[in-house]
Amino acid sequence: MSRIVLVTARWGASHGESGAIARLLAGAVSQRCEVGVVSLCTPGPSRVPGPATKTRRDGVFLVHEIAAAAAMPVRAGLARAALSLGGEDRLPEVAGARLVELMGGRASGVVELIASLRPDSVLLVGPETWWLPEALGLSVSGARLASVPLIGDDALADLVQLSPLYGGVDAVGVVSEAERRRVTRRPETVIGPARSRPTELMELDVAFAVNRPAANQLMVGMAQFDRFVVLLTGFPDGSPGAVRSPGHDYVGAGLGPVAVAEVAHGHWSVSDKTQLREVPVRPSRPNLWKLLAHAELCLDLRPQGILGRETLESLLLGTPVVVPEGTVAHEHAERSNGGLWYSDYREMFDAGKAILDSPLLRATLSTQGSEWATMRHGDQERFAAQVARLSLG
Amino acid sequence: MEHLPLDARNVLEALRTASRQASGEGPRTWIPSTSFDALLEEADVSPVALNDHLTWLHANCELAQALAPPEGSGAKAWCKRLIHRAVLAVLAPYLVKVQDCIAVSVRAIDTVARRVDEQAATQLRALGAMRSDLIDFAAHLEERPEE
Repeated sequence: MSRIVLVTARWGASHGESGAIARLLAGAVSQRCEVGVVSLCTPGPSRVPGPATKTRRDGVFLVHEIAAAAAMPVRAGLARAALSLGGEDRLPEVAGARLVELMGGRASGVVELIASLRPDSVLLVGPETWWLPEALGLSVSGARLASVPLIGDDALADLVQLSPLYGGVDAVGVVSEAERRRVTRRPETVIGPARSRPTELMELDVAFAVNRPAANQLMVGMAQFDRFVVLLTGFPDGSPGAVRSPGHDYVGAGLGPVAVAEVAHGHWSVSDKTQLREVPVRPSRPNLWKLLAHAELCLDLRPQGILGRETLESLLLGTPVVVPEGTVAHEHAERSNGGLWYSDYREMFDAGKAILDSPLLRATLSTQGSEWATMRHGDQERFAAQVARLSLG
Repeated sequence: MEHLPLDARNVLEALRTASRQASGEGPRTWIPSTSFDALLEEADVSPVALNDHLTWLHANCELAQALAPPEGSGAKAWCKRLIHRAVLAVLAPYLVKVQDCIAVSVRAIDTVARRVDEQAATQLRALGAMRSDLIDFAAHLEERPEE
């Protein structure tokens, strides 16, 4: 059986959407191969350094944790802004030597650790692994090297330091059209000439399992709310500290007589159309499915993501979406014809009301979205085959 | 389904065309609170949602018609239209903003009124439950055999 080592700094629930994708990739490939995970752990808020290397079992995966350098978010934000404003000819100046470490993830001993696992393939997941294609060069020369950069439409992807992730590997997997465009933006310098054989670019159709019988059950206490919309204001990761957003009241009033179920990090609640009665909802993926399956529509207020998982789940469950223009979620809505998108808040209300007011429009979007999502993102066998082909060739 | 396939881009284009015809930046849609708890029908004080001033505001807060050019014929009407055009050329953004502010204020007042009515209904319900409990308790005391 082939052995694959997945290297990432985004292992675990605290990394939000990209953490979930890393786990889905490992899960997909574990059906056919033996999978080891090397987790580049950046120091937590306490800044207390732990042991250099630690091995633990996480579900079916054996995870080797190794201490790595933390990212510098402020510096990365400045670089992102500069890259967004400047043209391509300014990239070398913006991406100076001092920005090499801005992504974090660099750690000593990783190469030796990976080599000791004797992999047939190394799969690099996330932009923090940008330095590994060069570092691994001779140590695992027999192994296939593949990457899933998870950079979405981030301007940081244009940094020359990140180019090994696209040009220094045997294959690159992208999870959205926006990411594919970003990766192939400068084909003559990014894809190809860095290795003896050209880098293969693959689009991965990330597949999800949605528990439909569980989703079809109406959540206890929801019958009193009649019609409701799901409002996404944060990634549903259950992280504490989030509160009900001002958008909750605003959307509730602007869309007319309809209840609002807000999903904001760790604060999930449903309020009735008068917004006086509020019922808390325990954050969990099955509860999100239950909300999505019975909602009139799913309204997404979040900025750009990497995959738009909640949009895909909503489409799979037959609920139309209203999403921000220019995001990955917009890509899904447009490709599937299963939802509408907006460029400002007035358009958001117009699109939401159009769906709420027209049962025919809602039913049509629902059918089209569900068919597309089931065909494109409901086939786990195909996803597993794609990841296996990316990793093993 | 007969109506398939439907192109979401066409739906969006139709919405955007309709939106371009509307002026101002404020929310275009708002449903005034016309309903209130049935309990308030019997309350001593009428619901705020039925307040005459609020009703008048809802009926008159749309000022788009007030900015229409003056009608009529003749030199005087022509002069008025000329002045109207000149004034709007300078003040149109300001006047549209004022319209939006008025509309949003009316909606904010409406929201407050709705919440006041809800609170009043909740209070009435609580008072009713307490009165019912007291009546039951009094009946229980009356029925209790004398010691």
